[in-house]
Amino acid sequence: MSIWKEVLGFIERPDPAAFEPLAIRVFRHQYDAIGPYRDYCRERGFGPDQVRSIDDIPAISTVAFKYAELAMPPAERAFVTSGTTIGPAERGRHFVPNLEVYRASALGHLAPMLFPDLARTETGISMLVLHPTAELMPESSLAQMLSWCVQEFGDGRTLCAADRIGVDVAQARSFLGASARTGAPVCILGTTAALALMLAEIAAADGPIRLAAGSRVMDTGGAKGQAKPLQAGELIALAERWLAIPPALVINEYGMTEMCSQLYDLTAFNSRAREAAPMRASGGRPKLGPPWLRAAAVDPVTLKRVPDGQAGLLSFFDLANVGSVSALITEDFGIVQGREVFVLGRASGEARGCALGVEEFAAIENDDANAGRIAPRDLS
Amino acid sequence: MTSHNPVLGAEASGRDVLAGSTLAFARLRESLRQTISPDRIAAALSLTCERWRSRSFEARRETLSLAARASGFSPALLDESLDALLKPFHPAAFESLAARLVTRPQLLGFIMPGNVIGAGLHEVCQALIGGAAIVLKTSIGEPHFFAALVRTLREIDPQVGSRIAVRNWSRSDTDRTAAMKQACDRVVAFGTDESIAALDSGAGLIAFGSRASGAIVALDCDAVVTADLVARDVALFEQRGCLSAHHVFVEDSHPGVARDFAAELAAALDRFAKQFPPPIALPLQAAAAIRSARENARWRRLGGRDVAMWEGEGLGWTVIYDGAADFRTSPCYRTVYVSPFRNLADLGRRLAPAAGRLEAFAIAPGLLAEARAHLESIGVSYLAAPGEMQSPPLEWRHGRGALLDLFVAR
Repeated sequence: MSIWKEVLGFIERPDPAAFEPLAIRVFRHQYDAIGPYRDYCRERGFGPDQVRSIDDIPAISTVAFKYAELAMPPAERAFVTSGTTIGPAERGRHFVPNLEVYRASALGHLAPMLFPDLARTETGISMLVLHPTAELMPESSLAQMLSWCVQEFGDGRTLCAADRIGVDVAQARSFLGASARTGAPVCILGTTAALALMLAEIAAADGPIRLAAGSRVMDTGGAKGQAKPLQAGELIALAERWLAIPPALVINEYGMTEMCSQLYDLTAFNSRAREAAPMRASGGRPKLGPPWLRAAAVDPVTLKRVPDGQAGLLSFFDLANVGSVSALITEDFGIVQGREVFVLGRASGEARGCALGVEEFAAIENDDANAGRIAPRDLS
Repeated sequence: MTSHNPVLGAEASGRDVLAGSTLAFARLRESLRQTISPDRIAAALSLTCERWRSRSFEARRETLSLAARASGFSPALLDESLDALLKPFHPAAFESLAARLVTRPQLLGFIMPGNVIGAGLHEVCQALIGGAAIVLKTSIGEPHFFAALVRTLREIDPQVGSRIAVRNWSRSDTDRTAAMKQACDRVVAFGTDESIAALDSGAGLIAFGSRASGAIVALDCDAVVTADLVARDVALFEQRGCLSAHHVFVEDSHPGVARDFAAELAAALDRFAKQFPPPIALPLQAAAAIRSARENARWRRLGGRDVAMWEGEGLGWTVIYDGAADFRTSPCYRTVYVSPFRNLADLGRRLAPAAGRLEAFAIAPGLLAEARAHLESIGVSYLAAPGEMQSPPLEWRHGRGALLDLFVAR
């Protein structure tokens, strides 16, 4: 059986006991097929013979996608990062040789996290998309994911109210108003920035639009693209106030172009265990990845896993990345507790010499204000 | 901000602290009525610094011990760094400064940084000799140095010592900061551009914002000796001051010279680390930033760019050679970039993106005459021989002399 089939089989029928052996086989496949990854592993002194457990597999920084072709040709699609953090000159490129695995991963976890009710009823839902879809932005991984989401979970009544230039807020408001009048629930998908923009305009113009019960929001991207970033919980409160969407149905996604799997907020809507779980002071709600994704926090000095509950750089082994590199270290801080992940914020950012101490001091003092800021996601 | 007071209660305690501050500001203003000659102030400061230059001086040892605990810096590095800072604070320099400045009595509020122990000492001395009284707010991160230094000053000359009051409060205590701004004629603030902008102190503000420094190495230098000196410029204060070198540009008319110098610098940083160890533990944010710099460099090299990297144990030091880079600030903690330049025009292009954010350069004497005008035109306030970056003269025109010029005859 090919490695692709093995991974697809795992996504369809996850078996925790099979995860680690499969991860090691995926690593060996990637080591053999991807030259720059092989070079990196050799530099760190790890080849297939040295890897005996998943913790031995050398993880690469997500910045690697900016500089090296971590690909198994031919690529079915190349997804490109937005470049808003680093500038357009050096954008990361994720070459995906097999969209079938990516699609299975994306939809396989979206179903229980954003559409647990639809799985039971097998009916779709009306969709408002505040980001270009794949037809308009084929290089965007988010656009591709949203398109799959609409195809899989939509009921045919869909509005994509965005193109490469921006979001058509008037059209979006009109769509929501019509949905409210007919009593049809709506699923709103988009970046946090686009949501914030639309909610601000609804607040300024129309007043509340009371969407039907079962309406929901999936936002992603955090502070990125927002002139004045919303604080933790603000979007949730605004969605409740202006769209009558309960907090449990406002679900934030954490993902990145370099990774084919995503994590979503755990709430009472998608997890019975979360009925009364409070938001953490730092890191907001816990997030959950799919069974084919293992999360860890690692010490930036040693790159070793830190104990559960301790902050570090978020690191993942994503079986769905079988076509590129599965073992990744992000530039986001987080805490991992079992399978739950708390995203604390961006770790990168250039130091600026003079008075760094003051900067840190200010950051400490502003910690409460920054608590729970969602890490920016590359929007493409 | 409140603190517990068993008599007045917590809320009253906050008002009490504020009232105490207001009283202190009034006393400082009152101290300006008494004339003290610049020579006397300079002499008192000179004696103070003389005591502090001795590594066995008890107050210094206690202060550095506290700073080492708070910052994680090795005591050996702190001693070496403070020695470098205090080196130019000698009697002749004080006499010279006193002769040059005119007395302009005024009350100044200093908001100090927490990144480097002793940062701002030049400006404090310049202001006191210029006849100012100072209320000095230390940072939460480094509250000890100026408090201890002023105690020494008061022992030496109580009247001069009465011209400065050291206080510590959190920036979130906006009432006390507002009271200071209201009481003072001007505010002198050290910090990031963002934190200074947040002060909103208007026209009376003298700001020393986000700045970084570099080094320029000549083709004909002794690479090993120069590397040792530049390593010192990089590593003192764990590279966290505005005078620390972040990017070294090497004259490189022959391919490979800059890369070879980077290798020498790595060896020098390794030697330096053996004598002056890096911190045992780094703040998580700093460690992540160094990790990010390393991984960017590693993958640029693996991706075929003209990049090389030398890595110290843990994240103790890092040298990144990048053939194409313009000036970059590093994540500190002995992380430094090295790049070549073909000629001064090429160097100018590489520094241009950082114009206005550069404070100092270590520069080979042979290049100084040619490069001085250009470096000064982009805002560089201090040019030093390699190894001397942390020792600017007492008359240093930090930030283009924004403070010093208050006390220079017009």
